[in-house]
Amino acid sequence: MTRSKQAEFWREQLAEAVRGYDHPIRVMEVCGSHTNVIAQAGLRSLLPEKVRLISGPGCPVCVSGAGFIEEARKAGSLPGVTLMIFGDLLHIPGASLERKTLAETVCAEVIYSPEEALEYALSHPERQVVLAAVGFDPTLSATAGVLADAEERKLKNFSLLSDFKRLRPVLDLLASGEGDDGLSGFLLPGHVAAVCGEAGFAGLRIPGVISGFEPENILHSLLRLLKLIGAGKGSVENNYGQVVYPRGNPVALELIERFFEPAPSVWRGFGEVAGAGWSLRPEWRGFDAFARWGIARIQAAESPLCRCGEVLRGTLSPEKCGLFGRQCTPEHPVGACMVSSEGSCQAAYRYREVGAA
Amino acid sequence: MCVALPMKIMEVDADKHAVVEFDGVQRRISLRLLPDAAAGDFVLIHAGYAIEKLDEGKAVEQLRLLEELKAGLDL
Amino acid sequence: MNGKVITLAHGGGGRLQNELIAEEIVPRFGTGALRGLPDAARVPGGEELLVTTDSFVVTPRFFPGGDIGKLAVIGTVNDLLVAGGIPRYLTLSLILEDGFSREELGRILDSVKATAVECGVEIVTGDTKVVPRGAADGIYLNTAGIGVRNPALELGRSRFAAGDRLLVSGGVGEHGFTILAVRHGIATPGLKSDCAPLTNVVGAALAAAGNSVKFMRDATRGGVGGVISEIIGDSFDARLDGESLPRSGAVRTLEKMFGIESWFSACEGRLVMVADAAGAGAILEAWKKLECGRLAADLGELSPGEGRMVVSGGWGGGRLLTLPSGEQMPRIC
Repeated sequence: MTRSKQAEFWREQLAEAVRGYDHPIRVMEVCGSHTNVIAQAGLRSLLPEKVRLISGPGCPVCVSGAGFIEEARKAGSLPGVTLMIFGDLLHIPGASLERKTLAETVCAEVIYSPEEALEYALSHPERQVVLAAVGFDPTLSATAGVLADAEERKLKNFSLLSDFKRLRPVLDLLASGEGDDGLSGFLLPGHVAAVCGEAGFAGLRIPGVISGFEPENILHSLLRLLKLIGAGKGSVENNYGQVVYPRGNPVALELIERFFEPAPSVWRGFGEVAGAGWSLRPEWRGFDAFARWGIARIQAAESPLCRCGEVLRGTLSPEKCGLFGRQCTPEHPVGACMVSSEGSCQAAYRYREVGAA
Repeated sequence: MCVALPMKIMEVDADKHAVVEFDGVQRRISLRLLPDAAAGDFVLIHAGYAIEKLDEGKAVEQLRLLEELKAGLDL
Repeated sequence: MNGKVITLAHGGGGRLQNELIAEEIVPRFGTGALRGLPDAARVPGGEELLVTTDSFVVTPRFFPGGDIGKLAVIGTVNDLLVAGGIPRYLTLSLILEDGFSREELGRILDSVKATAVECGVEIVTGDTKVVPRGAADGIYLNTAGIGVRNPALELGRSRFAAGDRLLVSGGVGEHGFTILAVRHGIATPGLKSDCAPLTNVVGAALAAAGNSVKFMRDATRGGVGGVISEIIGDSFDARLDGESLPRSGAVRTLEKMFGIESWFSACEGRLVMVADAAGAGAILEAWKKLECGRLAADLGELSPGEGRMVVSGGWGGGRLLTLPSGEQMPRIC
């Protein structure tokens, strides 16, 4: 089947699913990778008029905000410390007046796996390694794996500066929205679900469909979601069964549980939300970079012009922000959403639509 | 980051690591989160860790579901 | 002679430098115009000349499919070829860091020589400088290339017309992703740099439909997207088909791993050509017969516009392809 026939097929199916619905339907995706695939493939153009697919807070770097950049900068500026980060953190504007990024001020090593930080610490016993990490369940579980290794090897020169986020409490918050901000359903993140399982999303107030990342899989998931909404069924369905299981990955969950506990956390756009973050359990304070280096949590003031918070909450679409594409572009971003590889504004800008080709 | 890729385990070593391969790209990754994985398994790799095993039966079923959905269309 | 490394003394213009040149340069390049080491080479002329220059700072210096020496020759040769020239002569300047391994220098120069022979060009003059440790990273190469105009090619933007096709001569991103993979310890048995002279590619296109060829540029840093953006200037748009960008399986996997789009991934042996629609098909067919051209493809067309690159993803509408803000892959060539 040619691509245009496929597109036609999905357009019809999606329209059919909401025929008879006379008011707008707002559904939300909460995963940076979904944000990107949807924008790059132009999937929104296949949705019927009355359905709005909103990008929510699926970008961990964005919801952590500029404060984390400042905390990482403090660590990286300490003598004898090698700061190791994922590349995404390198170009996020900080909270200082000049909004300098980590790339501009501090020598941070970019890694693609938290294991690289472990290996560096092992091979450079004279250096103190600080792994600065943000993310959801997949990165969290990989980091828990690294901590298990660090503990086994009794590593003394390794510590973690983290701001991992826990999605579920924020989903519950979003699901309880009313009126114009009310949501009818979620497209749920497939790789978070690979770790936490279908169980991680049980009991959501509005329907959700767990989805993978190929365009057709996403379209299929959206179709299933619209059908659930149309039928008034508040359940969660799994459309990524080859990788998402009812109970997720028990080994990963156990490791997370061993090293981390849910804690209140500030999410940009939401304020402090109970249980929406993870902190190292007290018995692992030895690996806590905040404690080891006396780094205080910094509640940074973002640029007063920046409306990332509203974008993350889903109440403002990127194109409607007055700074979008003008003062705020990936070359000179005002906020994280425009420069993070998972940011909604970045996706909207990079893949912005023009007239049909 | 959510970015994760399915890759095939070529060999498992004694150190809870494996060499995985996909389309001519090879990596050494950790099986710390998936200790029962074996050579021949397809696994989802995230940040250098295998986080879940691919159920090939389910993958095939997924494709079949899609085909059924599109059945009866003019090709 | 003076052991295994380059020292500052080798750049001093004295005995040690003479010995270095006698041992490393003359044996490899000392026939022809370079014989006797004149200050400037005399080369036969009388035709319209093309001149280009380039510098090479790639790291790692050796990578699957090539090395900095091979790259230096090919990069220069390709610039001349796509500008409508027949490459003839190269200059070769070396900037060496104090402490650089003589053995590695030898390997790099061997590669320069072998590649020059393969490309049919002669190294006619050069220079060697040595800088203190830390002032350079190992070795930097600079070249100038001289060629004569190829009378079979009539290239020019003034010939552009709406409906002209944008062709790429092979799979993209292979150089960039090979380097990135090496840097991050990812093995790529299925991938190597596409670093190669474009002589056969240009020749095949000329033979197939020479009159249809309007313009060419080799895609290096900034990849195919970077080159198309330069080509269209501000009087045309490029309407591109996202599905048609040719990449090997390994490149597609690495795109996902690194989160980098292949429109802007570095190549070192690919060109983008503007050809009229009548001849495009024949050119592509000719390229596909070449080993390096297996994935050659038609990327889209020129349309009247203002310098935008519009990519259709196939699912809906078109999106604007914008140049990435920074250095996606530093020191890639």
